[in-house]
Amino acid sequence: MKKLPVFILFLLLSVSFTYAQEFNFQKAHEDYLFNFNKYRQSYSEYLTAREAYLSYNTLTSKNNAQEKTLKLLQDENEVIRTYLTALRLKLAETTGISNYEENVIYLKLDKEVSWYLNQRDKLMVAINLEDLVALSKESKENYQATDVLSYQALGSVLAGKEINFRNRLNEQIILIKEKLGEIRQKGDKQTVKVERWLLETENLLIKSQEKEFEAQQKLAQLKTNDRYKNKTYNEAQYLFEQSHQYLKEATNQLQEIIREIKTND
Amino acid sequence: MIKIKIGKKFLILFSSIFGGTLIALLAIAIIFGFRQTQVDLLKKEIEKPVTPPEVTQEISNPSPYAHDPIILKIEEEIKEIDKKLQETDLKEASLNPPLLEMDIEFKIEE
Repeated sequence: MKKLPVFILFLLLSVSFTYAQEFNFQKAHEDYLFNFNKYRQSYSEYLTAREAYLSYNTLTSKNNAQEKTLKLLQDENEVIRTYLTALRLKLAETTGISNYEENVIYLKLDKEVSWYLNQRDKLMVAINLEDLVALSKESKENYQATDVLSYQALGSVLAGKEINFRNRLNEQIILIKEKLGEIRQKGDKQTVKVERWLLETENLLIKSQEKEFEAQQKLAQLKTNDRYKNKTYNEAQYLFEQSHQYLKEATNQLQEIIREIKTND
Repeated sequence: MIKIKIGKKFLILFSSIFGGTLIALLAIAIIFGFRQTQVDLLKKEIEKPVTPPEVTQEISNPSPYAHDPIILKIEEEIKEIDKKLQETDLKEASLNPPLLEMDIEFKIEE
């Protein structure tokens, strides 16, 4: 009998562990998209109710408008929280981001999610339409900061991808250099040309890093009161693409280098 | 009796002409049909989606390192990186912040 609570606890833990394992980015993203569609439906209903209230100004229409506004704000809150969760899981599955940077973003994302959870509780106790309008203004103001954080987190995802590729290419360059040292000692093949090519490839990796830094700096300068945050993000994204292009060129050069090593003088 | 003779001659003539024509038509149909099948097959071959052949540039003058396991491993890894670089989505458009209509207002414009 004594073993029963232990067994139940074990069962609960294993179930929660399985759920935690299954809840990945894909699921979180689907969850976000589902909530976004729900939000759009709520927005359309809110517009109709608002129109009716402004036209007839009756108690019934006001009551209906209040209900629809509450529903809209709750769905909006859910959209933001599920979006932030999806973003968090995207960061978690992206390799290349440093632990420090990842933890800093996690803390910021968690803080945002907790702000919206608090806001959701406030919505539940809102008494009238005026309260809801005031709460909506608070959300709108806070969303400016959420927007900045979202773009910066997205930038970290893109940077992480580039860093990961660069690290992998650098590992191969180190291996090639080791092999070239061996070839040089044996003296059965010239290595000067390949060594020069390797330097050129390393320069491409440096250029890729520079573009990536430039993009990150652009995103770091984003401010909550910036009107066109998406424009800045698009500019940063273009820099990431340039960085990516350098990585592609470096990879092509490494393939040429390998071919050269495999060919007799 | 004469009528029958004429009938027989006519019948023989008619059947030989008719039969000959039929055989000739059949032969033409078979020959052209076969050619048509060949043309169709050729067309099908031409219409097949052209998949670019994998570029396997043969090294005519291999060095002692052409089959070196380390070099081959590096080559494989670089190919893999190249493939992933081509596939990478650098837009992540589905993760752009949601566009929300946050102007909730009930003031009646006067």
